[in-house]
Amino acid sequence: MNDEDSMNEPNAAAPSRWRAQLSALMDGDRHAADEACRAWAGDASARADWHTYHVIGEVLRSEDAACSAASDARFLVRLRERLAAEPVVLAPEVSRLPVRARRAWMAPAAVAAGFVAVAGVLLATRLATPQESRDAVPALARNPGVEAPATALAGLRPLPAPASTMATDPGGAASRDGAMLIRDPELDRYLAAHRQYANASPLVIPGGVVRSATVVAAPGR
Amino acid sequence: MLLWCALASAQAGDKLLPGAQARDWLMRMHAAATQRNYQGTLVLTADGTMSSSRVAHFCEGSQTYERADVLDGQVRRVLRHNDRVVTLWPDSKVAHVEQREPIRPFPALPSTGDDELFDRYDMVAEGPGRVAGHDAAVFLLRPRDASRFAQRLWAEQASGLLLRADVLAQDGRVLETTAFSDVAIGVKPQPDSVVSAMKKLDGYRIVKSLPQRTSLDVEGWRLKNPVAGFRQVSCIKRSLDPLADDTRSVAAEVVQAIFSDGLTHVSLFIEPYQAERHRPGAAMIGATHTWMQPLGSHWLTAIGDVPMATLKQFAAALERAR
Repeated sequence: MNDEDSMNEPNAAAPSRWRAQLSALMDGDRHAADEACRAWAGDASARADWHTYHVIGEVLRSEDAACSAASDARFLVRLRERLAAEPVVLAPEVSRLPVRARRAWMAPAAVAAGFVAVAGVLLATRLATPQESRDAVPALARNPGVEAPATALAGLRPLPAPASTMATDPGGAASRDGAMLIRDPELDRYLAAHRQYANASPLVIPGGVVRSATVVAAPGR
Repeated sequence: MLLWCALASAQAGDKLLPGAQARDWLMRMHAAATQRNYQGTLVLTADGTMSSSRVAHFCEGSQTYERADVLDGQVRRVLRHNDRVVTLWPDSKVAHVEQREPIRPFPALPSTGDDELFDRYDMVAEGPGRVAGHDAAVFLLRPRDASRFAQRLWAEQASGLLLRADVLAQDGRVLETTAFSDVAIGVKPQPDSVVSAMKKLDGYRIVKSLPQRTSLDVEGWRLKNPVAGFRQVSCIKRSLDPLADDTRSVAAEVVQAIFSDGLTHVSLFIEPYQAERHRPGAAMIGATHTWMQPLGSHWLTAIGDVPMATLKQFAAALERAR
């Protein structure tokens, strides 16, 4: 927006003005977005108007949509509570490396961002769900010959939210690690190398060459 | 182990295939995949994500040609003539040329009568099925112990070409699926289309990688006790990141030891430990599990389409010989 006054003092703008902007934004006018968003963020009555405009639009289409702005707010609060209660799926470990070393490690990751999109298609690394952790126990129990203590399964458990601050000593014992490696582009290289040997099996799956290609890292440029 | 076998044999109503028939089917699947000419769309599904590729496979005499265009994500094309593989990235104009280590055919191949695969798996006929418009015979390769996953296979009735393969968890869940969504079998071979594309690299930056043959012994490692049902089939020394720019800190060479049980394989990657790159942990992608841990001053990354416990057995068995 090029209106200097409204830039500096967004909420001083006359309600009639931001109502016009809200209305214009609803109609898809992107030039109205700046001012309308400022008004929405700064003024409860603007939010109420924004909601009202939408309700009017919705009700014109279907009467089921008629509800108060407060119910939206309640929905948001409930959603936030539910989100907060969800276990954290991505749990990056806190690096103990000095900042410079950390950056050096991050750089390839950034370069690799291009191929995350490539490999990510097949390789959305997932954590074991609690379901699977439970499954794994009877599977091992059935096989007493396997020396896999229950503690080793710790690595398969999704981490609760506070665990995202858990630091794993890179040189520490793997058996007590709580962190999962997630979507690490480094790992894709190993995976691609592993899959090149799919023909080690007599059971050649047609297009085996493709399977390794799905994880081949794109050159980073 | 006994309990597992008891559970396995307790599953009633199975139509366990006699050894000769099972061998025959596997041999047909292998022959069809390597010697037939076919062209189709291959779809890989794992963890609710999918990726598809146009693949073509031609065979003339002893020469094998393969072409694959990956249809999702960044444009890339893989061309193969026997052991030579070229991966093209048209957007960034990079060609990755690899001379892949030919793996000697696993002795479990039926003609030798040395059936390691059937020591580890039972083959169950599950009747007729249909995939990509073709009539198929469905089989379950059921492991005899908990160290590996089951696979369900759909083989085309006439040629034996594998049309679909599912990897199953121990509770029967499908971990990943590889399947043709459409395929034409017995197409006219067009090897020139592969060979000429492999030569047409004008304007491409060519990156080569040549794995060197080695052995665990030479590298100073040994498995102090073997993991049941797995045998080492290859060991190489390679760079994992041949495409890296010079400005980037390139991962040093790694030793890759490959173990096979006749159906699936496990790779052990061993390299010097680097604090900034290596973190212990585990990951899974479809059926492929990964286990990472330190080994003294070295670092192990174990990857395979096997349960995590199997990878941990490998990790526990691997030790420095000198």
